[in-house]
Amino acid sequence: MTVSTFLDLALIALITVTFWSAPALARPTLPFGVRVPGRRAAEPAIVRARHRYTRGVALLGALTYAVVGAVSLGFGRELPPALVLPILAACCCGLGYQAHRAVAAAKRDGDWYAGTRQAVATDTSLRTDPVRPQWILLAPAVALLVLTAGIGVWRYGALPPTLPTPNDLVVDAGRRGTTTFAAAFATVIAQLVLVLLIGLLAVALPRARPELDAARPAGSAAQYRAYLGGVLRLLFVSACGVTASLLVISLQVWEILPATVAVTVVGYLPLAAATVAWAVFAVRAGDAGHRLPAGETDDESPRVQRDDDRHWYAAGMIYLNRRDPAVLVHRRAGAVWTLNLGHPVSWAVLAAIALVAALAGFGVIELPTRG
Amino acid sequence: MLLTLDLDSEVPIYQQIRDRIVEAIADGALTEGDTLPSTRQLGTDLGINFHTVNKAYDLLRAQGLLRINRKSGAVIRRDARSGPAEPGYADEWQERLRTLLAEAVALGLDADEASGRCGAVLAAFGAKANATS
Repeated sequence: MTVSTFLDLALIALITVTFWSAPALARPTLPFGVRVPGRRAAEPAIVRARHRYTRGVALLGALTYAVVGAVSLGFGRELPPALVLPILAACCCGLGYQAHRAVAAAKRDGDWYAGTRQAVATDTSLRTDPVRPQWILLAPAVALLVLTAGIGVWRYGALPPTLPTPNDLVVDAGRRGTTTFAAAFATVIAQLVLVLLIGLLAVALPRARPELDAARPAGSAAQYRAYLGGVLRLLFVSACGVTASLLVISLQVWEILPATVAVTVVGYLPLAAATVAWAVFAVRAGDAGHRLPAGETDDESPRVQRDDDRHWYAAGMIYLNRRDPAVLVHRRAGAVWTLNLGHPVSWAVLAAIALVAALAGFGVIELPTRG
Repeated sequence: MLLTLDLDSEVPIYQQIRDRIVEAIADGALTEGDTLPSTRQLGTDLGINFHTVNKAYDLLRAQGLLRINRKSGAVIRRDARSGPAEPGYADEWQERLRTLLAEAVALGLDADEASGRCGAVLAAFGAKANATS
């Protein structure tokens, strides 16, 4: 087995565990992206859908693991991860969508919102005393970026006519490409884009609509505040981990460090540490921080959070509400924010991204490429 | 302050916002000099049109509870400790109270219970204000 196969197997395990654990981390009032009143959270239809989904994902993951392992050991060949991983993720998404439809049908048939009073809640202190990003935590990532760029500039004049290029997940010394400025500084550009994106996210996320539950406004506000602070800290720490990994990859591309298994493994350690930190946080906090301590609050309200299912598509992954002034909203599943596709600003953002992609596709601007 | 809007209520949204802010001032959750989010920000956070929030803020401004300016935004102008009410306010308030008490009497609430409940609500405001100060 090659290093690449080990990394593929690790990614298969990661994807399987991520999908498998998703229902446990989801908010009890949002099983499979369907909004349900709190007193309906343990309905048999939801429990059944959850069991069926977790069994299916575990089976799919084990099957993929066995096939990739067997092909590598038995035939000495590698199944391309660019094919295997998306197929596995798509199948898991399919199982999730099936569970979503089952829960949505049970909710509709049972009229779960009958007799409830729907409400929305917010905490104005999240605006007047907002969660502030600790920018100092981004300093190590910026320092690593400057260090990598500095080494690159120092080394650029002495680079050979060809450079080793990334082959899937590892730098392959046997596969070489012509030394151009873009090829030599691809990893530095990737670091720069990452730091800028993380900075942009740290500005935008505290301005997004807080994810509060009108059934327990005080508790959910305290949890969301802690959750947002944790996400911002983790974003900065992750930026540091990824830039550190990119520094090691840069050193391999510039042939300062050899492209050996040991160096590759060491190079991926900061990235792995960031992934582990996110996993620990996801388990501890749950989606939108619903697992975090809510403090001593006695705010059990007779109301329930507004049922806004009709504005959510693809099992709670896509939000489209023309009457909602919010641009950035917390997605129903995962520690992820998404754009309100009913808002013109969202389309402007997507158009800008599409424009950059199109310009890169036509070669007008040069983006860092793999291999 | 925590702001919850009942979407199934017959009370208009702007009135609910106005009422919750007045209650927060009485509770001590908001005091003189505290700021409120901008109308756009509060509208976004509640998923409602900012004109609705604007209407609520206008009501509060007309009553002298809120001051709005371009630099500092919406600021609470007074609370229970900011001195006595303006002259004439008590009479105007009594007019509205009269309707509320008339409803209680018409629906069979006796005078002792009505005044007892008024006292309990006032005591709760005082207790919360002391707890938050």
